Amino acid sequence: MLHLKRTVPLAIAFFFVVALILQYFVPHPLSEKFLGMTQKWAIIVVYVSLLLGVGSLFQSHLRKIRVQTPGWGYSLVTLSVFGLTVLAGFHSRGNSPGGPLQWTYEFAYSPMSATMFSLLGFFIASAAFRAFRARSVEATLLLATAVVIMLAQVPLGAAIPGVGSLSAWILGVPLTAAKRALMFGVALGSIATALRIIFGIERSYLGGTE
Amino acid sequence: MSLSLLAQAAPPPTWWEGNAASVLGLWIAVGFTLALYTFLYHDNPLFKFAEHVYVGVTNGYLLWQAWYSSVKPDLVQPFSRLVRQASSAPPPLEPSDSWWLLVPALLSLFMLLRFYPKASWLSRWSFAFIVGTTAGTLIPLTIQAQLFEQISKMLESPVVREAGAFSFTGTLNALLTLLGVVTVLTYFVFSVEHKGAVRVTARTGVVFLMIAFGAHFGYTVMGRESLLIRRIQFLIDGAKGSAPEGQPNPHYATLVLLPLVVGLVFALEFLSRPRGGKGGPEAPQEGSQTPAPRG
Amino acid sequence: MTPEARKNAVRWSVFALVGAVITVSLLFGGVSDFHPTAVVRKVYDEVEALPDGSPILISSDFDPGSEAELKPMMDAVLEQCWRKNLRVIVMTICSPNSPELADSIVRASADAHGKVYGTDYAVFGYLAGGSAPILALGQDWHAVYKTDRGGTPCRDLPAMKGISKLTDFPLCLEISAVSTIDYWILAGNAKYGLKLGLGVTAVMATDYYQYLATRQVVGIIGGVSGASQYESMTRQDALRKARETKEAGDLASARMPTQSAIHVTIILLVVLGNILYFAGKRKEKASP
Repeated sequence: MLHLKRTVPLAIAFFFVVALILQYFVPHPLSEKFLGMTQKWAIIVVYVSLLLGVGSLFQSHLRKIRVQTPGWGYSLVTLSVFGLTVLAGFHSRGNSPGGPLQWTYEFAYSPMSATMFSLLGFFIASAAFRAFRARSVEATLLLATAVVIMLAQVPLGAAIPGVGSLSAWILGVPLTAAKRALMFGVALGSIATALRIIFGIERSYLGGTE
Repeated sequence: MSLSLLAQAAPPPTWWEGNAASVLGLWIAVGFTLALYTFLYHDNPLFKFAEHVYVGVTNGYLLWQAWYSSVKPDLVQPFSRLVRQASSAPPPLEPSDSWWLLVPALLSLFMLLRFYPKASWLSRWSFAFIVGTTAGTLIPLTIQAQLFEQISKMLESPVVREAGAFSFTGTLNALLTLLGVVTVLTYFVFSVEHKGAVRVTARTGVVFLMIAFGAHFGYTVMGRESLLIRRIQFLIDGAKGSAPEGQPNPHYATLVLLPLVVGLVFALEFLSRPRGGKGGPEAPQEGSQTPAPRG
Repeated sequence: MTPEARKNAVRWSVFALVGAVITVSLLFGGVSDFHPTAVVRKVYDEVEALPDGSPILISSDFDPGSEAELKPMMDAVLEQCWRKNLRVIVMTICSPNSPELADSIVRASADAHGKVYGTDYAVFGYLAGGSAPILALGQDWHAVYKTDRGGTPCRDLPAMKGISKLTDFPLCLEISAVSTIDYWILAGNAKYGLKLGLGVTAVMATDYYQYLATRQVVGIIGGVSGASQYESMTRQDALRKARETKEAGDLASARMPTQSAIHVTIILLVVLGNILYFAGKRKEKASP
């Protein structure tokens, strides 16, 4: 049983990592077909994995309602709205939703999503006022760069002579250099993680107990 | 042009696409927008209600999208065609219809077994497949795109020529970029003590990093404020008694709903205040309930 | 006043100021004409260089949360595509909630220009898996997208004529609010050599400048400012009309005066915050 629980998944991960790395170096039509097939499988499996999130949400809210934890009424709201949205989806148009589900998207999901994201517009202004201090040379440099970029991104600031070209220089030289260096670090980290997967050292995807 | 295409071009209108549904929808949209903004005062029952509605709608919608976009066309329909091949009037197969689809179908099933404790270990096979395919395809491409192509650019001669002539500023910028990459990398080397020449180099790297973070902050301000501007524009439009042609008339939705929402927040606060105590609003923790999206 | 109450008062004052500045500025209105920067212009030039009637792929990887920044960008790009009679193919790998938005944006823009669904443009649904759909589409488009979003088979869409895999597109514009850009760079550009132009939210814009020098991406349209710059190249008629009628619609350029006002307000807030901070420090030092 331990083999099925631990060895088989490690072997699956090992096989696909190694096979697909080899595939990169052997672009034969057969290997390309293998790549296409595995990627098609991945699309389907990842899609179904999204449903895990929906299932977890359902379970967690159901549990809150069952044991009546504080605020369980909100869980009831979530599940009721979830149920109504699912009902709305029975009216479809081809391979896409139509009618009530589309209406729900347009007038409930869409404005609420946009509003949630826009709340940060208030908080970033508050944070800039309360925490953005020129305490050191480095912090002053950060602050000055931010001001130049903020000005350069709007017509009012861009009209100030030199702001546009200074902003272009910041983005083209120091920013490019710093981002390139950071990217090297991230890329090397990804390669290290892949090696850990190949050698079975990285097992976090198997769950907490392994 | 096929019949299905014609049908798609002119779908029959339903009640949900009519003016009454749009006006109702607009009032709901304005109401929820205002309810979510009450979080600026502090976390309150009206905000929580709107937040939970949002979560419910999002997940319900996601469920259907999963069905329409993948489960139905990629699993249900191909298997249905394959199974019916044995029948008297078999439907034509798509080129990609194949019993090989049993592999992702099984892996998908294993994934969902995560909810059944006795067999949840089978979901590990599916996760192993996703981890394996993602790492296997992306690692060589990461080395190519993020290391080799970027390094090869750095290894080019820093002498820049523009229109055949030597460019002083171009060359200086190329040298500065090279200096920036080397110094930032030095800053992140922790296996060597930062003193002497290494310290100077690392400190130079910090200068480049600070400029980069400053640029990032400047852009972030622009991004966040542009989202807010659009929402306030939506509320201003919702306060009008007319709309441009082809759009639903909001009938002063914002003007009517704003005092209602504000009144409701204070009424709920008054009702939930402990009797005899001083009460008072709790300070909202910035960002505690809000999502932290990248874009 | 307790420190907590003072903190709240400061916070609410800043919120009120931000709300007031934006509201007043929007009520005043106005439309800016923002000249394009070199990085934005590069995207325009690449689209302009495509022969009339060419296919162009737009990966619309954003949902309503980022619509305010990316819809004007997409509108501006589509305007250029319609003028050049390009066949616009739209897809998404960002989120299941993206195709609905992409569909509505493209249809509205196409209808305004008399473009016909299926012939001049087509919209495909969401594909999960990050890099997996890009790699699979690079092998065989039709094996992955058997039908468009409405269920019409690919072979019945004249807009898809001559397209059997990703590399049949001479240019792909990735209009994105999430890290799908990395997948397009790795799987689209590095694996298949797909020419890539980016339209991104402001928050993400600074993450991709290193790819410009290496030509892994041809140009970047960043945030609402980039959208406004693109509008100045492709939507002059709409800008003129907005100035005359005072009906801004969804034009990014109509929001730029407000954007200017709020940027200046935040800069002043930072300056004021620093003055108060250093004044407090000095007072602290002076007191015994």
